[in-house]
This record gives sequence, structure tokens and C-alpha cells, in this order.
Amino acid sequence: MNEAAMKAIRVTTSVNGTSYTRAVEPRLLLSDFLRNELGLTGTHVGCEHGKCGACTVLVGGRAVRACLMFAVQAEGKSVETIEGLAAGADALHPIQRAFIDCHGLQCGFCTPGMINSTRALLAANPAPTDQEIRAGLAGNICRCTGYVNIVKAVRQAANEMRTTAAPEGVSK
Amino acid sequence: MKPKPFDYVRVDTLPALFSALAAHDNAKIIAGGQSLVPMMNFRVAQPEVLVDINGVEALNHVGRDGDWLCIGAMARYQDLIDSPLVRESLPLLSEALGHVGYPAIRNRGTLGGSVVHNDPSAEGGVALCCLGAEVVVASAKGERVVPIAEFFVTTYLTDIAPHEVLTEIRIPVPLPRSGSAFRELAKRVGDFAIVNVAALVSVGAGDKVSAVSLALGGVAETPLSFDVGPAVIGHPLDAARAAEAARLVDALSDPQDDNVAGGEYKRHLAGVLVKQALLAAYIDAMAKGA
Repeated sequence: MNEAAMKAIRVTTSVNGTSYTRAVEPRLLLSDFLRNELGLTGTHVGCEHGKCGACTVLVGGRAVRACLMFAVQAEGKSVETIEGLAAGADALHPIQRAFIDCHGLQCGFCTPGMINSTRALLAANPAPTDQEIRAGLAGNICRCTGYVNIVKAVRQAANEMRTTAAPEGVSK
Repeated sequence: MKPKPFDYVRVDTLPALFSALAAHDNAKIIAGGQSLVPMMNFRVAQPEVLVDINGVEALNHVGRDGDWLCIGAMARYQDLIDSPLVRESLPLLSEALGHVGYPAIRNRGTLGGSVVHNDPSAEGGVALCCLGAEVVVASAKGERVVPIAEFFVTTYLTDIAPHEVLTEIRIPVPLPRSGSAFRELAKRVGDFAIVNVAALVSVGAGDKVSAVSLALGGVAETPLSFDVGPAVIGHPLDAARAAEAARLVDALSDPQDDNVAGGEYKRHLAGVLVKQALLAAYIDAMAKGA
């Protein structure tokens, strides 16, 4: 048994409503846990020090950086990733739909983080101003699309979600 | 995996925390982890044992104790910003914490962790200096209370021993007819400030300033208070008085160049922000009525 395996700790966490138990090293970041242990590669890893926002997921309903949490800290917590958002392959969430409609993505690398931050933003504030949208997404960096269409997408999603009023059960 | 391997201990009570700290050398407490985990990912920090206090309910509180507001070490930024009690008792703190990082950072980061970390332009530290806060530092042997200005030793260094933990921040609630303001300039929203300023002004008879407190971040190794009383106490606060206060701050500070801005620029910025913050705090106090 190597040193790493000796130090492994069991962690049980709910991801997108499914409970997973794994034995992991304490130093395994939540972002790497989601990607490498669970195969949920929609959580993107950019800077790995909390600056870029690509790995933003919801933990206990709140947007957090998955690269600034250890997987062992997700013990007993409920994690939501981009994979859990759409109801099915043909049933994109209004936020996903809006990002496509408004050309809110180009390469798509930042998009899962952008969308998770948007979920938390709209859950707390269903009718944000453009300034509030920008503040809500300030921690998510896009390097190719530009922010104008992203803000536009969030605006569209907010409008649509208000009119359809489907509560998502997340809070900021 | 980025960080160096470490052992992980999760504690739920203070006695368990003290036992864990006593049992290990080179142990590090993790609260919100929003500064510590980046440092571990860069391997700037390499603790052998990480003691996780996220589950210590006794540290997750916000409450009034007479004329003091008491904030537990595990209270997260967003909870403090959302707290009606904090907003009503200490609007300066609510305003300052709104400038911390981004939503995802505020959802996880704690004021207690930031105070122990002591970045010289951290908004929380600047506000706490201005408000004259104290911190409670505990160990298995008991507690001690340290004024915030003494707790901040120098950049990234505070008056806390490896076997100790910051349990609570205690902040005196300002006088009734007081106003406050927080001003900062950062390169981008959520970045650490180049310079930030917290101001607290109390007014008395004739709308004259009866007390003033001012603290700046980014101009020294730690957040720092400046006594600008001689410039403003006993007078209504106008632009000329605010400028005189800014001159006092300038004479007492010597900001250094860093990788974000030059010392001369910070000096200029401090003057501008001090004037803005003092005048805004005075207007805020005047709005509270006579």
C-alpha cells in the first residue's frame, strides 16, 4: 500500500442528487474529485487558485469554487454541477438555452462556471439589473466571447424564468 | 493534485480542536480556505495536518452583547452581508465586506480567517481597525482578548500561536449619531484593493464632529488607523477639513511600491479616498437627524 492510499479518507457526498462514496486523499480538490473520480468533466479547471471561476459549482445551493475546496470537505453536502442542470438531452435549462440564443459562448470553456454562477444569482435575485448581473458574474472570467452577450443571455434567462416561474431550489 | 500531501482532521468542538492542535506539529486550521487553499495549491503553504473547523457550530454565530457585536470565527462573508443585525449595527462592516472578492469567494470565505491571514488591504481588516474591534484568541489554557491593531503584526503575520485559534471578533457598536463610509479602488471588481479607506464620523451639537475614526488598507504592512481628530473634531466637516485630514494621513504614511501600484500613486489615491470617505461618512451621520 503506497503512502497516498494509506492516507485515503472516505467521503460520501450527493452530486446532482446521486450519492457517491469514494476513498480519496485529503489533498484531492473537489474539482478533481468531480472530474477524475466521478467522470463529471463539465466542471472545468482553469487557474486552480480561485481566480477564473471556471470550476464554479453549487454546494448546499451556494456558488463556490470547486478548486478551493477539498473533496473531503464535501462530506454530507449536496453538490450540483452543470451536468445536473438540463432535464434531458432535448430539454435544456432556460439559462443554457439563453446562452445559445444570445451567443453567450464561443469556446465554451468558461460556460459551466458562468451558468452555475447565473443559477445562484437568479435564485437570489430573479430580476437583476445589468449592473447586478455583472457583479454576480464578476468572479467568472471569459477570454474569448466577451461579456456583452453573456449579460444579454442572463437577462433573457431571467425574463424567461420569471414568466415560467419554475423554482429551482437553489439559493445564493 | 496540486497541494503537498497532508493529513486531514475534522473537528466539531473547541476541545477537539485544541486536542488536534496539541497532537500535531505544523498543523494549520482551515476555515473558509479562500486564501489558504490557493496558497496550498501553489505550495506556498505546506501544512502537514489540516484541521477543519467548518463543522464547529460554536464558532458560527453573530450576535449583540450589549454595546458589542460578536462575530464567530466561522461566520462567512455572505452571511454577514445578509445579516440584518450587522447591517443595522455596523453598516460600515456590511459595506466593506461587499467589496470582498466575488460571490463564490464570499459564500465560503470567513472574516475570522481573513483577520488571521492579514492581507494588508483586506477590506474586513480595514473596517475592523476603523471600528476599534477586538479579537478573542483561545487555546486549551484559556482566552485572551487582543485589540485588532495589536493583533495585526505585519503582512501575513498576526499575534497568534500555532496552538491557538481566533474564536470571535468583538466590535463596539458606534454612537447613535454616527455615519460611515467605505471607499476603495481596485483594478477590477473583486481584486484586492490598491488602497481602501474606512471612515466613521460622529456628530454632536451644531453638527460639529465629535469623534472620528479612519483606517486605510494598502498603504502599510497591515491595515492602519490614523488619528485625524485634530483636523476635523469640533467643526462641521467640509471639503477644507477633509483635505486637512488627508494631509495628516499623508504626513503619517509612506506607501511602498508593489506589483500593482507605485507608492506615489497610492499616496495620491489615499488622499482622494480619505476625502471622499470622510465627507460621505459625515453626510451619512447628518442624515441620522439631530
